[in-house]
Amino acid sequence: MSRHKLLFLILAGLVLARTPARADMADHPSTEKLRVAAEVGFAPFNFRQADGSVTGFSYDMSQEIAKRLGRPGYDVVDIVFANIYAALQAKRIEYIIGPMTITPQRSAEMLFGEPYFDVALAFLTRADSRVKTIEDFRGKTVAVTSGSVQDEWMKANAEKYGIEVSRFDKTADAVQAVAIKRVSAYMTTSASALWTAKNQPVFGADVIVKTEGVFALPFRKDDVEFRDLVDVKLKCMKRDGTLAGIYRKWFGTDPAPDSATVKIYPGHGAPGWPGYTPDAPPLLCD
Amino acid sequence: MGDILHLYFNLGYWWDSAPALLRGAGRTLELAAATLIFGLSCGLAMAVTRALRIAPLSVVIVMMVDAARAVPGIVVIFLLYFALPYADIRLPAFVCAVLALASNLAAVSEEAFWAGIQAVPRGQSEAARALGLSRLVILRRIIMPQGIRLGIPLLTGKAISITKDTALASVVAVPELLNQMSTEQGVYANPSPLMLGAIMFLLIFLPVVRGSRWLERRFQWAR
Repeated sequence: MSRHKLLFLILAGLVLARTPARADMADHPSTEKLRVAAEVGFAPFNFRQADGSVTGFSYDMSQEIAKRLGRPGYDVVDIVFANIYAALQAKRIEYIIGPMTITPQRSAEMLFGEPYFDVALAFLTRADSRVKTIEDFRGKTVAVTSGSVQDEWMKANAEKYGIEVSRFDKTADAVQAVAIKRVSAYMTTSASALWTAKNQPVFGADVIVKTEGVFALPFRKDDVEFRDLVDVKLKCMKRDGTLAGIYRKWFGTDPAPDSATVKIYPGHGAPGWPGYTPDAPPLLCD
Repeated sequence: MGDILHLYFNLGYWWDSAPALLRGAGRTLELAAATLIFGLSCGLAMAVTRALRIAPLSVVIVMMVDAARAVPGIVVIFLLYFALPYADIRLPAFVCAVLALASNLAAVSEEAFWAGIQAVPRGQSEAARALGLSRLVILRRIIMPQGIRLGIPLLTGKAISITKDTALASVVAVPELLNQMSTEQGVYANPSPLMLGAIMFLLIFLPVVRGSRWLERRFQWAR
């Protein structure tokens, strides 16, 4: 693991040293498969089925984007969450499909596209847990995924609530740590916690923390042209109901009409965040 | 070039992530020290036990050593951390990592000390025997001092690699240096903390590498 990371670091450095960073559609060749990355194992957004293939809401969404971009296929590279940014910057991938909440730090480093999902946070616990409020975690250990918004939330709030934090590289390991009572809970996206609790009865999902956050697709900072192109495809998927259909498939209900999954945002990018362009030509869908 | 500076040598992110990385470096040092002390002393104890030439004990030791050398450290860490709790044994993550790494080091160092012990010429113990010294005295005063010295140069490479393997503890959320590097680069969405962490690893382990050279020279000279 550590050796892979270091090797990757060196390779990434070499790649960067050789290729001058320039926004270029040549990084997105229409004759090649769309290369994207996620930390696979984050149900129901992107996770493996029994036969080893990847599936999920994010997977389906970007598969449709690849199709509408006219790319001949679609490859998902599985990278632990905290390393995904380095892979993006090193041009190993074209964008990140793994759900990503827009944050000030991330938007300083990356270019976000059209928001597509409203985010709340929740604690995945065991079904027999007696936790009712966040105060009940005082003196207990809670897992997070390294580098996630929950990790960041803990950096700001763990001390206040007296929570001990365990940071895992992989979501699957953190979920497992809950199952074997290593930790009292795993703090994650509420949609994921609810899905896991519903599909695996040993788990429960408690204490939803409401946030203003949204998921949006992250691109390289200078990749404006490609971001705008993908934005258009995503807006069209909202307009013709494809995205709502994918949402129904994974969450069993219709997305709320005012949610980021339905609402078509004006301009390109996420309003209020760096890299947002308010002016865009009228939306034309095929 | 500007890109590399921004992505890997960004002083702002270095400054922001330094406290967490330093805490991680401290934990890495604790892991390394605990692994070395525990692993080497267990290895030595096993080699000494084997030198007593009590057949059943020797068989058990050889079996344990072979098993510990055959299984990758990260697998043992996973087993101790994720599987033992099903038997209602919940060792802290730090302890799981030290046990896994130290058992591997103990196995290798047992072999090295044993090789050292065997390299002491048989004539010495025969002569001591003729002088009427007991087996334990021979072992303690004649065989072991030389055996340990002969074993140490064989061990330095392993000692270095096992202390670097403390980074494996990251997978069970021990907040050591690699774990902090991941977290920090994730939070800032910028890999600069990775580079700073790599530099810290270098600063931690370069003295270890230099020290091992010194040890090797010293003990070879003593021979």
